[in-house]
Amino acid sequence: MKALITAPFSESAIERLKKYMDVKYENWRKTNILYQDPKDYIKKIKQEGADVLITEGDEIDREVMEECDIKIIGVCRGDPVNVDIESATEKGIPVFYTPHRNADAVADLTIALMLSQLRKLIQIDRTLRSGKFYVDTAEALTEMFERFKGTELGNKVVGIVGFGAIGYRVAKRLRFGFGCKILVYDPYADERLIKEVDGERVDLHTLLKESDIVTIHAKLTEETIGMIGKKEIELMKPTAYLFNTARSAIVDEDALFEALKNKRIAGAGLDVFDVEPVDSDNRFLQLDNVTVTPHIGGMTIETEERHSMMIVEDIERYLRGERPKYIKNPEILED
Amino acid sequence: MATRGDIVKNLEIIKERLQNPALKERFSNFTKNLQFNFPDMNTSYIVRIENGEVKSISEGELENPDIQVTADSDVLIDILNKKLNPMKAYTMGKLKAKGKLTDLLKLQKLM
Repeated sequence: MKALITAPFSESAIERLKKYMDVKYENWRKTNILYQDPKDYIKKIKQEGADVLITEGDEIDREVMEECDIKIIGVCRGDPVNVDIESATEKGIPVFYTPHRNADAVADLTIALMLSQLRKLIQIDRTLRSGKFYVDTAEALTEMFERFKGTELGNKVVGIVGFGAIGYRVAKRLRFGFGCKILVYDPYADERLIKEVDGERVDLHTLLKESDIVTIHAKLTEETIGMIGKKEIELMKPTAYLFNTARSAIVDEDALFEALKNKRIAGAGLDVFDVEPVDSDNRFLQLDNVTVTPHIGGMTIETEERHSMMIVEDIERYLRGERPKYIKNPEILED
Repeated sequence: MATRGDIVKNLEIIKERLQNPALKERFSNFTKNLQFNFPDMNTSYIVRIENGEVKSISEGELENPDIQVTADSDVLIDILNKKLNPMKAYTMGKLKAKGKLTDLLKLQKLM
C-alpha cells in the first residue's frame, strides 16, 4: 500500500503509518497545491501509485474513485465535505475523518477574543503603535487610564448558542476558569453536559436579553442560517459583546457591522466572515471595537497532531479488522 | 432560470469590480480564462481577463479554462449582486469552483 498525504500531518503519525505502507508526504500548506480538479488529482495519484489518500481539502469525487484504485480515504477535518461519500460507500472505500479535532483550539481562541475585547487590547495596541500617542502631561496620563479601562470576564453572564463539543469546552473554561454564569440555547444539547457547567437552558430571546457576552458555537444548518439578525441583535444589552468562531452565515453580517459601527453593542470578536480568507479588505478592521482573526480558530500544533493520530489509529484498527472509531460510512463494514 | 441576456449583463459586474482601484493593482498581471457553467441552462460562458481587464464575455466552453465555476444561473446572479454569500452557496453545495488555489483566491475577490 502507498499513502499520498497532502494534509498537514505530524512526523510521529507519518512514522507510525510507515509500519504499514509507503508514504509520500506533500503538505498542501507547503506545496500550495489543493487538488480541486479531478484530472490533476488522478494524475498525481497514478504517478505516485497511491491507494490511500489522506487529505484536508482536495476534492475526492466519483471520477477520482473510478479512475484510481483507492482503498482508504482519511480526511483531516470535522466533516469530510470534500469527499463524495455516496461513491466511496458504493465502492466499499472507508472514509475516516476527525470530528472535534480542533474543539480545544477553537475554545481557546474564543476565550482569547473575549479577553481581547473586554480589555480593549486591539484598541490599545493600535493606539500605542500609531506613533502619535505620548504621555507627557498629567492630563494625558489620566486620559490614558480612563480610555484604556476595561472590564473583567469573571462573573459575567455568558450566553452560549450551540452547545456541542466547542460550546461545551468554552463553557467549561468560563465556568471553572472565570466563574461565569452560563446560559445555553441549543434545542439538541445534552442536559448532563449543561449541568456539568452549572448552566441554565434558556430560549434564544432570553439568552440575548440577559447575557453580557453572547458566543456562537452552532453548526451551520438550514435552522441556524441567519439565526442572529438585526432583530436579535436589538435584544442584546448595549454593553454586551458578541463572539463568532463558528460560521459567519449564522449571523447577519451586515446587521452586525451596523450594530458595531453605531455602538449599539459594545464589541465583537470574529473569526469567521462572509468573505474568506480575510485580508486587509475586511470592513470590520475599520472598527476599534472588533477583534478580527482570519478563521484560524482550529489552527494549532496540537490540532495537527490530534487529527494525524486520529487518522492513523483508525487506519490501524481497520487493517487489524477492528471497528474504526471515526468512519463516515460505517455501512461498508457490515458487508 | 435566467435568460442569456441576464447572464451577460450580470457577468459585466466582474468588469466593474476590476475597475475598483483597490483591486486594479492586485490584478494588473492577472490573465486568465474563467468559465461559468450553468447546468440549469445547459450552457457555459467564458470571461477572458487580460492584465486585469475583461476583454470578452462569450458563450461557449474551453478545453482547459483556468477557473471553472458551476452554479445555477439564479445562484450566480444573486452572488454577483451580493444577495447571496458565496461561502454560504459553496457550503450548501449550490456552487462549485475548480482551479488552482491562487486563481480561486483571486476569483473570490471578483464574486
